[in-house]
Amino acid sequence: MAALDLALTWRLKDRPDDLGVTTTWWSHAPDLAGATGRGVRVCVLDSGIEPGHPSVGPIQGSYAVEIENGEPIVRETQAKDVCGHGTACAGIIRKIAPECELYSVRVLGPGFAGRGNVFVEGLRWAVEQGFDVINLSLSTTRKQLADELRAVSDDAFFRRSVIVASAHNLPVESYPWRFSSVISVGSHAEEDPALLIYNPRPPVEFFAHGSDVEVAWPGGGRRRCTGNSFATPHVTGLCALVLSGCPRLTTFQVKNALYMYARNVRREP
Amino acid sequence: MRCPGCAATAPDGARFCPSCGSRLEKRGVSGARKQVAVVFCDLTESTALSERLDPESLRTIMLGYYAAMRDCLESHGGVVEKFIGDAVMGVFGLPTAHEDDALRAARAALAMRGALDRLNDELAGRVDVRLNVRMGIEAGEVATADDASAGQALVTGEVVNVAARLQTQAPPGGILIGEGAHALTGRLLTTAPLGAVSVRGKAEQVRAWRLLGVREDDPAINRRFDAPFVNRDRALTELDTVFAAVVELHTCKRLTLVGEAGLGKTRLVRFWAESATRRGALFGTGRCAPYGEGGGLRALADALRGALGEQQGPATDVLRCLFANGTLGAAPDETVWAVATCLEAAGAPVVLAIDDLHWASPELLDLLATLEDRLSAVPVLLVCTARPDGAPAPPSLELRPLLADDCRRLSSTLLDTTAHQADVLEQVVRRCEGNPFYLEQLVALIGDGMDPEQVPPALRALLSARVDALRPGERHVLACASVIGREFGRAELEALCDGDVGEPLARLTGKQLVEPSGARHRFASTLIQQVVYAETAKSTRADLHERLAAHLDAAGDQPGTVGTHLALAYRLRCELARPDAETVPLRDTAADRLAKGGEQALRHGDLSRAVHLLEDAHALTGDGNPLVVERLGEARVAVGDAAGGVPLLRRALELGDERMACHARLYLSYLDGGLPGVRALEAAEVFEAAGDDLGLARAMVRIGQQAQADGRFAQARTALERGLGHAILADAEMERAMALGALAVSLWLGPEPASVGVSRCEELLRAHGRGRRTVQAVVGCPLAVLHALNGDFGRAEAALTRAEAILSELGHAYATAFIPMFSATVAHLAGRAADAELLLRRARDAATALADAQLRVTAVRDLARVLYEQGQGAQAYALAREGMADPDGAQPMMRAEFMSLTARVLGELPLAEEAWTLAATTDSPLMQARVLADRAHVRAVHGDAVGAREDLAAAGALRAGKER
Repeated sequence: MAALDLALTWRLKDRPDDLGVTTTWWSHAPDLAGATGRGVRVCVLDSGIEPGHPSVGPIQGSYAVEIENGEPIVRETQAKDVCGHGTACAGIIRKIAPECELYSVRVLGPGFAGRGNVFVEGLRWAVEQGFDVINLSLSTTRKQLADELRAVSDDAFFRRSVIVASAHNLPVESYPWRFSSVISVGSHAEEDPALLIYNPRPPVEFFAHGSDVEVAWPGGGRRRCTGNSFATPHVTGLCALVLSGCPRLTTFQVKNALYMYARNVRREP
Repeated sequence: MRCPGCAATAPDGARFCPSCGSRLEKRGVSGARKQVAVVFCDLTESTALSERLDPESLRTIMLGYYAAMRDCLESHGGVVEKFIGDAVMGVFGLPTAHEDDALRAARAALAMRGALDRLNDELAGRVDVRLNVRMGIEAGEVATADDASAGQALVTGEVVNVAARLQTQAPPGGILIGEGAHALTGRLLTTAPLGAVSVRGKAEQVRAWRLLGVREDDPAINRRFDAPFVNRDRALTELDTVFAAVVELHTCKRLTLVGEAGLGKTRLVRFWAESATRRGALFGTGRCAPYGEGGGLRALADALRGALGEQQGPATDVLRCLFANGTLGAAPDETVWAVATCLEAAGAPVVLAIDDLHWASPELLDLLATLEDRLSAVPVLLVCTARPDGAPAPPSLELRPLLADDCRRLSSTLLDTTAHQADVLEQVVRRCEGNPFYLEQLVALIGDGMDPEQVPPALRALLSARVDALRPGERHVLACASVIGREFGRAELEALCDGDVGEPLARLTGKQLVEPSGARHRFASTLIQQVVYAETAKSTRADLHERLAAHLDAAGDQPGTVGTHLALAYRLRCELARPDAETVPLRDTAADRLAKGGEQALRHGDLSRAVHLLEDAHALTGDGNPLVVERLGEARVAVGDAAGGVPLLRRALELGDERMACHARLYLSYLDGGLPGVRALEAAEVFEAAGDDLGLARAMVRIGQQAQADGRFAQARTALERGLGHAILADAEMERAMALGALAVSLWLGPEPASVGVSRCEELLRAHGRGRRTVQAVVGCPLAVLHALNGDFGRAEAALTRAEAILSELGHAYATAFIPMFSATVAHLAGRAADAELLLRRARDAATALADAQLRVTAVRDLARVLYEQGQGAQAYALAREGMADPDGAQPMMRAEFMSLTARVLGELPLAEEAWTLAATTDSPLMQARVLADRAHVRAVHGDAVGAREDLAAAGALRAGKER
């Protein structure tokens, strides 16, 4: 029986004003004015992305993890979204970083769910391709995969692939958002898409707009959705903006840039 | 069929006239749809047999074959539907469904093959032939008689053909099972996948498996025993307590866990037993089966064997028969003595778990009771599990459904890897009713990418077995209730059932299929309602929907509800047969009621319901009903879907109905800008002639709005007050609110002092605002500005907050534009120009999204002014130019201000003069004051200090007159 740690934080219930963090750190908040994400390669590991959606725009590559002889393997595939979730995430990233390159790796099935080994293989492949930012609006509850995912996440950390991973919506253990080598994201309840909150009480490190978010949906339309799934691409978009200004940053530098950018972090006078 | 009441043509089979609602004829409910499993079995090479055998020998052999096959089918609870030549068709699930019909079919097929082997062995000595068969199994929905009994039911459905075709694809001696049966039996069978196979008569290939065997009957196989165990602490504690007492007092106790199928009784006992065995207990389990081989005591024998292992000695000899085939074999007293001796010899506390006690034989129940009484000095705990129907004697422990939070956690672990979209799991949690088995099935459904609003086949099997166990009268009541909905009232139900339902309803409540819900009742779960509805024949459902519609209509229920049931009846009839001259009137009546309901909802501002009903009506009649087309267009625009609504309004112009075309033109004129006043006057004549109060209310409101755009506020009031009167006559809440909102705007922008405006607005609210939230909001917004003009910013803010809360609660799309617009005006008056700018930008974006040109240009006008005052002349100028070029900015109230601001930025005196000439034609002191102030500025720039002073004084006087 899995012990459930009810103290896990995944959604910010306080007002952001109550989470003031004072820093004596000597770096500055990044200046993102004019940043568009140009030149940054963003990979969305999800249910696929619908091609030609007006809110998503061009997709540079579409891949899917398929099972061959019982083994998961990544193949180039025709762009399509099997349930809508990936398109929703991609639309948010595109809105924030309009000039980034978007790649899709399909690991989820039509029911917003998929198999753990497929997910791990997709992530491993994405890290090997050296994508600058990898958006994971999903996680797995399979404990057996934790070690493997941790190894892949650590690998990504040193290869300068920033993994932005959504925390689970429920207070349960799942992976890889629990690892320190990724940037983990939960939701705040504010209506402000630009609001980023640093969480001084991890494992969730940042909170972004994830409640009642208007998102792109297959068929060219839009709808409103809630969940950490939609907070995560807000942070992915920010990472792309940071990296388009300074392409050689390491993951820990990007994380620090987000920390300094977070609205609740104030420099000590 | 003709209605005796009104002579209208009624659809064949209708029980009530769709035109006047009078009863046509009385008929019983007949026919049902059931989920069954079908086994097809055919001899191979039967022609060769008839060639080689004498007809007499062949007959004897065939009779033996038929008897053997029939035996196997019937002993597993199936019925022989028919013999066709050498083929046998068996059906499982008739006349009563079992939760494991597909599994029974698979078992029966294997048994049939075994029986044939035995038959061949017998034949081997006598004739020189061997019989061989192929078999096919499939499960799915069929239509059958309501009281289907063996040999009488005509079973029809695709599943029958698929089973027959699979049989032809099977190799000699092979059994193929189809997708439906495979899904239901899950991991309980060992199978070899064959992939997709083509079957004759079916366009698509079907997936098939070769049946190899049935696994041991272990509950852990078909359930997710790997899932975490949530929130069963109370039951576990209770088991601990009773077990401690058993050990301490050296006694025998029995505890029965009672709960619906799927609540996790068996698993709970296994889970607890693990800890008991760690504390030294011996544990064994046995299961009562609903049918099958072995004596009635087999469950106890299995449990004893599991706990004690194979023993030797005199006591074991007495129990030999019990262990061998589950029958007593000795006198009951001796059996009890022998059991006691064996248990004592174990030298440790013993826990015997007996699952599914609701299927226990009377002998087993007797023996368990005797053991409990007579076993003394032996620590034994008998843990039984049972379902609530007919749960045997206490002491029992009721297992409750899981809480929603537990279900959330459980579902998150059942799905391996998931997207973090909150509503996906919520749907499953809501539907599973706290039952972990339901949850597993629903989660599996979404894992396969299916709609979680469906009923998974395994759940349907379980629930239909529960419903089939009811008496026919109770089933009939349930079927009628399922047509009404999840919740139903007794009067409606009695109208459908033709009589008192008190007694069956009480019994159904006792069986936890329905539960009281205030003065009404409701199904204990939507799943039960869905299953009952699905198992009622479509023709019966159609009849019931029509009868319910007639009843609701007579009882004065809303036309939308009546129409919804008629539309369902129509659609069901269309699914059964192509629509014909008899079903068309049903369709038209349904569309008419839906349209009425939609119109009513629209008039009352219930926009989402209006869209819903009108969409349904439109789906039935298409463009055939101009009223439906026009009103749906309006409703779509009103909920913010201009892209969907405007094309319908344009179509309504061309459908040849002048009155509806006028409505559409009026509505479009507002969206398109242009000159609504002129169109409104033309339309008003048409409405006047047709006695259309709604139309007149709209036309008058438009005329009033045109007068406002022209800056003729006193005239606007006259038209708006007329419009208000017609809106009241038409019972049109939206138009009433529009007239009142426009009147309040006139009070703000027109000549009356703000204090008079405040008291008039308050009068309007007193007269019309009670219970009308939209009115409170649309009058509240201009009232807020009037308060601000009086310098009372506290009341202004409060009024805005309240208006915003109301509108967002009502889901009013336009709130996103005009709340920030009014808030900006108040902020501007309070000197918070930066806030006003932000709000106006938001208002402009919202108006753009809503495709509302008038609102947009208004936001642009105010934004230009606010930007100018913050020193951003260039931006203000650009916006003013944009406004001047915009056809929607051509009306005096707009144009004067755009011109005036442009003149001020550029310092152009002639333009400033022109702006004032236009402003002077209006009776809006606030606008005139702004234009005069602009001209003062321009005059000052040109060195005309005296003229500038005069203008400022005049502007001041105008403002003072308004604000005093």
